Amino acid sequence: MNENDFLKKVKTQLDEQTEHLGAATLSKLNQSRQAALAQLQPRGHRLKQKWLPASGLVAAVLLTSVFMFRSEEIIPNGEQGIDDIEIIASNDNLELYEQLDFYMWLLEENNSAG
Amino acid sequence: MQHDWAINKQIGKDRTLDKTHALDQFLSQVERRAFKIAKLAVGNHDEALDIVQDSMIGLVQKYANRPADEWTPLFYHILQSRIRDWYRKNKVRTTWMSWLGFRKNGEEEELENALEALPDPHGRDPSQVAANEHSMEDLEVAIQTLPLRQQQAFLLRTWEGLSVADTATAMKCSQGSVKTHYSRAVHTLREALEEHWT
Repeated sequence: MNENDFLKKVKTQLDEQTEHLGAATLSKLNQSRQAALAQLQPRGHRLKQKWLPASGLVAAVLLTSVFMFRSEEIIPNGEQGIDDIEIIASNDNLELYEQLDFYMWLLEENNSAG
Repeated sequence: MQHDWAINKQIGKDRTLDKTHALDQFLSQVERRAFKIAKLAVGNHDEALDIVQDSMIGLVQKYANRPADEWTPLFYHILQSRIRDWYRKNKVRTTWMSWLGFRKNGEEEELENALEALPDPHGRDPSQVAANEHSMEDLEVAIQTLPLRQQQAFLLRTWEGLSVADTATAMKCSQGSVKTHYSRAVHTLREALEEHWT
């Protein structure tokens, strides 16, 4: 085998090897190429792309915090509402509540007399 | 009517798109061979992928504006630098590991042996596969046992088809050195392989 034939055979074998690199390797090479080409985009655009997921996360955390804070405020109001409903729905005589001052005065008089 | 700045902006966008397309084509043409060259040099799949990615990014960052016909030697120049960097780091790491007495885990070795013993998933004739794979393995082993400079000169000249001058640029050495490395590599490989290939 002369040198040219030998070199041709070497080249053919190496070419064959690169034809069978496997999907995972080819995918990685493709990702590397895309990462390299991304360097051509303006810096501002790359920064936007880089920080977009992070800013989304921050926004989500802020929204969750706001909702949690607001729901804490709402709970006492809710309890107040429930109390009102209980008073309205109870079978107690409403006069009792209307004349509450009178009953309080009566109680104080009894205590001072006693 | 468009203002001058708008026209210039559009021209700039078009140029970037053209450049992106040209670089994409160039990188997709060289990426497989570059990976193989790096893998033959460092003997590790993942490290080779990292080296190729670094080289691609380096080319785009530094030389995207250079004429397209200069990209090949420039790309291989970066690849060679990354391979040399890897050798330096690896040498330091190996020295530290040997000082600290670390060795390869026995379980890992057992797993590798077990994987090698698995049957061929495509159900090919073992003798055919063996003959073909042996031939390829012989070539890989022979190339890997060459000194790094000979190995790289041989691959860049024979496989990538670079001229002596471009190989010298890529390897950062004189054209005379490229010729010497190349002819020694061819001589060694012929001695090692021709007997099996005839």
